[in-house]
Amino acid sequence: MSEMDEQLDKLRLELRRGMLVLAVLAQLDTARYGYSLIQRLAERGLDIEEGTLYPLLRRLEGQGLLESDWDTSETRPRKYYRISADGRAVLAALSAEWQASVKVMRRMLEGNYDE
Amino acid sequence: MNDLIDRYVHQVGLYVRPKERADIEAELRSQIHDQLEDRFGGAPSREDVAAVLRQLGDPRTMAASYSGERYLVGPALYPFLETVLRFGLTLVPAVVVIANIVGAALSPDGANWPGLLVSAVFSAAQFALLFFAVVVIIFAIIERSGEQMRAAAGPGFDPLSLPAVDDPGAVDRVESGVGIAFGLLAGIAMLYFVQVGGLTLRLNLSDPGEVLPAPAGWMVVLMLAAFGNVVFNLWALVRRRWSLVTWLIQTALDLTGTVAVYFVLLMPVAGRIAQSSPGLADSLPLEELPAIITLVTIILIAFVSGFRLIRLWQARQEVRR
Repeated sequence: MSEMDEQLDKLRLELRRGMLVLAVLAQLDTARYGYSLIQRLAERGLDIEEGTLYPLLRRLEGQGLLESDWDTSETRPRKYYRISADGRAVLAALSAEWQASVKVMRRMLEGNYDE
Repeated sequence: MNDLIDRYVHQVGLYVRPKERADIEAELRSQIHDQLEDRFGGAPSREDVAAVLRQLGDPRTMAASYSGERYLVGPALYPFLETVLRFGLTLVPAVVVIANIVGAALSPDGANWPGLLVSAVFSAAQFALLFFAVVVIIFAIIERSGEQMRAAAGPGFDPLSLPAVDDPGAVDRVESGVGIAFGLLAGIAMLYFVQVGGLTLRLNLSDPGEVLPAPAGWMVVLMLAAFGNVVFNLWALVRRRWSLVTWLIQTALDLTGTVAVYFVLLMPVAGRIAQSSPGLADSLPLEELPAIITLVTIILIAFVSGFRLIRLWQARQEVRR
């Protein structure tokens, strides 16, 4: 991998970092376990590595934005995550921020400043 | 199949916080099984498991992702740590080697130079390691209690209260680094002298050699002055400026330390020179020399610190106006 590619990878990661939180919060209206969330995000076009998602889920839970429960009724226990009340409030605020940012960035990238 | 999963999960568990370990291990195990089930159905082969684990990545990297970023000394304090260590690790071995050589030269038994060289290098390494450990521990404590300390140090950043470019209270990183390094060196040396019961220039922790008697009270005073100096320099670094009061206390500590050095170091060493080298004693005013050195140092401190004190006083008066 060339130096430029490595640099590009790092920048891409930085760009995605904040977006992932928003994507995860948006998909956890229904309770999901880790791997099913990865599949759900992939179906919608967002690929995320397990090593990134699993710790992120725990961190968001620690921040009170997600709630979790172990489901022991199936053959194997599974930990299900869903968005909390605080998480919903944060999701609403972040969504508004995201929409505004998309507008700004579109104007920036397309050079249409009069819109 | 489970054997590989157990081994992977165990390796991750080794590197996460103990109180979270059981939960992370259970969660990770369940997630690995989910993935295997989805990708390979009910009976995955050993190669299938290996493929999934390979995708999860190195257990240590995985564990590190759970921990987030943690620092012993964070980016805000690191430049100061670097400065203190740079000066300290230059100063400490040099002082220890010179002290060893002076000590041997003054010894009535004469010097065994090859043995002295080995002993000096050994002592320098001991003190350098001790110094390094003490400095890192102090900075790690400041890092751990950073939030409380910053809150105690005053309100957060306000551009309107940014110090002027030539602000007399500005903290010079190099000056504070040298102050902390020197204070720690003196403090550690005094701890050592108190422990061995007097002054010894060999500075060898396991074998102090000949000990010159020095007044214990003044050794304690010098130790307190040295550690006090470290504390006030660190406080100034955290607060990012010297106030009139802190600089006044710092100056008082410097003066006290200078007087203590007269009793703890200069007098005993002059006495030893007079005893071991009568010829030198005839050509040098050994009885008066300690007092002269102390007096000159006091005048220098009073001049340099006094100048800054006046500027700090003027700055304070201006703010009041």
